Amino acid sequence: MPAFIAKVLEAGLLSWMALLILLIGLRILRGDIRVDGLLLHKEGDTSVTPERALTMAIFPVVIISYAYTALNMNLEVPGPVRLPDVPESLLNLLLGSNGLYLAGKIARG
Amino acid sequence: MSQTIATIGFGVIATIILLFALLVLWKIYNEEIDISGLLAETPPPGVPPEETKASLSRFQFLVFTFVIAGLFLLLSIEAGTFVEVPQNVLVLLGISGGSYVISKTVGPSQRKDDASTKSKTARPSQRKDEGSTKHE
Repeated sequence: MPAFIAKVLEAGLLSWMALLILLIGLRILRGDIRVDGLLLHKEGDTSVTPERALTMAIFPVVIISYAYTALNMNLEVPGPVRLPDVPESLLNLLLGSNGLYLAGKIARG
Repeated sequence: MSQTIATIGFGVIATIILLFALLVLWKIYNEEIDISGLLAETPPPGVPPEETKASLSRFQFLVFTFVIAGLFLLLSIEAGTFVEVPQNVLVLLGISGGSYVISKTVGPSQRKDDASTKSKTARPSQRKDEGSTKHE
């Protein structure tokens, strides 16, 4: 019986997470949640800022490569299971791009 | 006996958690919980949140949170126990969260500075106007 309740709870939590992501995704696609202006410094600007474009290009690479590593890891190794480590190179890449983004934001005022 | 009580307790807690989660989803779906400003930058005074542009740092933080929380949940369920979160992953989340906080603090403080400089430049003329109206 407890195993059955645990299975229901697991399925419920996973479905909840999936539905929440779906709901936010749909709202973004419908335009209820605005995503325009992500690459602009201020509302009404016409040109894209390079540091934002760089951040927008780098962070999906970091998160996709990490998710790919995590989903392909072997869970049957002895000892406690842990999420995979993020390579230093990816961390430095993200730190650099976010630093540039913030520097640009501060400098542009 | 104690085993039965523990099972019932677990069932009740699981039901409460699931009902609460479902209620939150339902309220978001019905727009009783408004998430239209989820990615919007902090609006300047007098501007409604719907008219502000999206914030890159908010978007990044949202994606990082969902991906890492989703992976944690998925791997925990697959492994049958809570998985350990390495320090590197926390650093990753920290970089994203830190960028969001700095971006949030930089935006409004710069707007305040802009507003104060504007009001300082506007004051002398306002004073002249006030003076002229007093003379009249």
